[in-house]
Amino acid sequence: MENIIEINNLNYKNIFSNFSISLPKNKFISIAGSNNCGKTTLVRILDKEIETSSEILINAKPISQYKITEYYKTVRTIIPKEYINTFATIEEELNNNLDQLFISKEEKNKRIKSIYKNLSLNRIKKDNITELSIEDFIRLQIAVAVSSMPKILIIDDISPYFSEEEILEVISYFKYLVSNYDLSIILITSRLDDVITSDYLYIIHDSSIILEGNPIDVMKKDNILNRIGLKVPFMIDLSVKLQDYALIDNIELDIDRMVDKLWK
Amino acid sequence: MEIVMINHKLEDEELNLVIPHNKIIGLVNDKSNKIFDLISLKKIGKGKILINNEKIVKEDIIIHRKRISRVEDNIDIPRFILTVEDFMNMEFKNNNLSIKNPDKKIRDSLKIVGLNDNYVTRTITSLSNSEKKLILIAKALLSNPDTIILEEPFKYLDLNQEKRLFMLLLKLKEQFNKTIVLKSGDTNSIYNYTTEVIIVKNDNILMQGETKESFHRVDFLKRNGIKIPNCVKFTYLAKKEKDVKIEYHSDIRDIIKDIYKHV
Repeated sequence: MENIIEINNLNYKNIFSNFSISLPKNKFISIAGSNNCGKTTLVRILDKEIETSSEILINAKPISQYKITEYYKTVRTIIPKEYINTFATIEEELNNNLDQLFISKEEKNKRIKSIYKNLSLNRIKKDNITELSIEDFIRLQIAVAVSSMPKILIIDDISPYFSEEEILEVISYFKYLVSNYDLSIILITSRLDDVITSDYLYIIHDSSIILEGNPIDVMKKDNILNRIGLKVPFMIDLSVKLQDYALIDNIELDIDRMVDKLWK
Repeated sequence: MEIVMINHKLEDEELNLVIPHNKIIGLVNDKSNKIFDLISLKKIGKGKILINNEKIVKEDIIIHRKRISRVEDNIDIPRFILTVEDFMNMEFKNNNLSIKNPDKKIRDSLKIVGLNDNYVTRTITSLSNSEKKLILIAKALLSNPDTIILEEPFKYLDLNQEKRLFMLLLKLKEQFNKTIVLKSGDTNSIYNYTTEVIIVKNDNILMQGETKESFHRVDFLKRNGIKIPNCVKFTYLAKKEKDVKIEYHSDIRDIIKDIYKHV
């Protein structure tokens, strides 16, 4: 499997010590860890906000060899509430960004239509950015990043800002993008409920990857996850414990089906 | 501090509200913050207000408001505030608090929420979201309030931090006699951590009472669009669809034991 990002022996302050991770291409990857384990620092390193001398390859090329404009065409990061310096409306901001890409009008309209629909921005496209709620502001951040069609989209812990239903819509959009475009998405989170459907999950703790794999398989390790401060989603937690008692064979995510299985 | 509001008219509707003394109370589905503002005496209407059984007049509200500390969901701290110490000192100034040893008071407050002395000189911009949340709670404790109202207290916290925060709130209730109100959209946390609950719908009080009893009225809550805690949903389905005689539990291990007896 080809890797879109490779980090080898990252050292940074007392946050990372010989940390290595390889993220596969064209997948929806999640990286989870308890608070203050370095998740946002990792995002800032990949955003080139923090410089390190450690070896980081982006799309097989060392990060240090990228020119600034080339890098930000390849990698876009979303850190919630990072300031957008504008008094524009959503519509104006999006149009301005797309105008700078020198794409055809047809392509521009196609991207705008898709973004408005999938991020529920139609209802507020004429609103001023400074008046947006935090969740709508993050939707705009996603819209601006996605509109430029980067190769890699890295999103830092947006879960706290959305309701359960809203975050599922956003996650669904990310999966759609990965399936239909040449794009890799990396979602950083401390909420495991939101990443059950991701393609691959890494759990980081104390500067190393302590678990990785298919999200549901990773989440079966409830003892380890709880110990480091990650809450296992209710149905997976219930399923694992019921499996321990040999009351069910497989993980069941749906409550109705679980009740049917137990009491046929 | 017990707050009772009788036939209290705020905008168009009259409501009756009781915040019992020395409990941990949940406030659910208060989307516009109307009840949140009312409980914190930030926005009041017309009608009787009793605090500790004494009728309160509007002119005295300011005095009683100072006995309530409010920790909001918004963790943004103004950029002109440089350090945690500056932030905490602002609280003394804004509330005209004359403290003998403000430095010790700050360190004690930080210690209560699990943050060590190193945090005193930390810059605000260096703090993570969860650290900011804990700093806001520490700030709320500086005025030694009778009642602490927290909006989305567990947002930004991981599981271990959430458990520690709950232990802290329990300690504040039991050792320091505080009344705690938790406003949250997370009905799972409210079910687990509170003994009384106020459930709001369209800015009016839909029901208030004992937490477990209230959330077990599943049909009523579903009809009114209130989210049901996961452990309640599961047990309710088992009882209703399969006529299984399992009890409601908040701890998943107790649910498992009960399932095992009835499978």
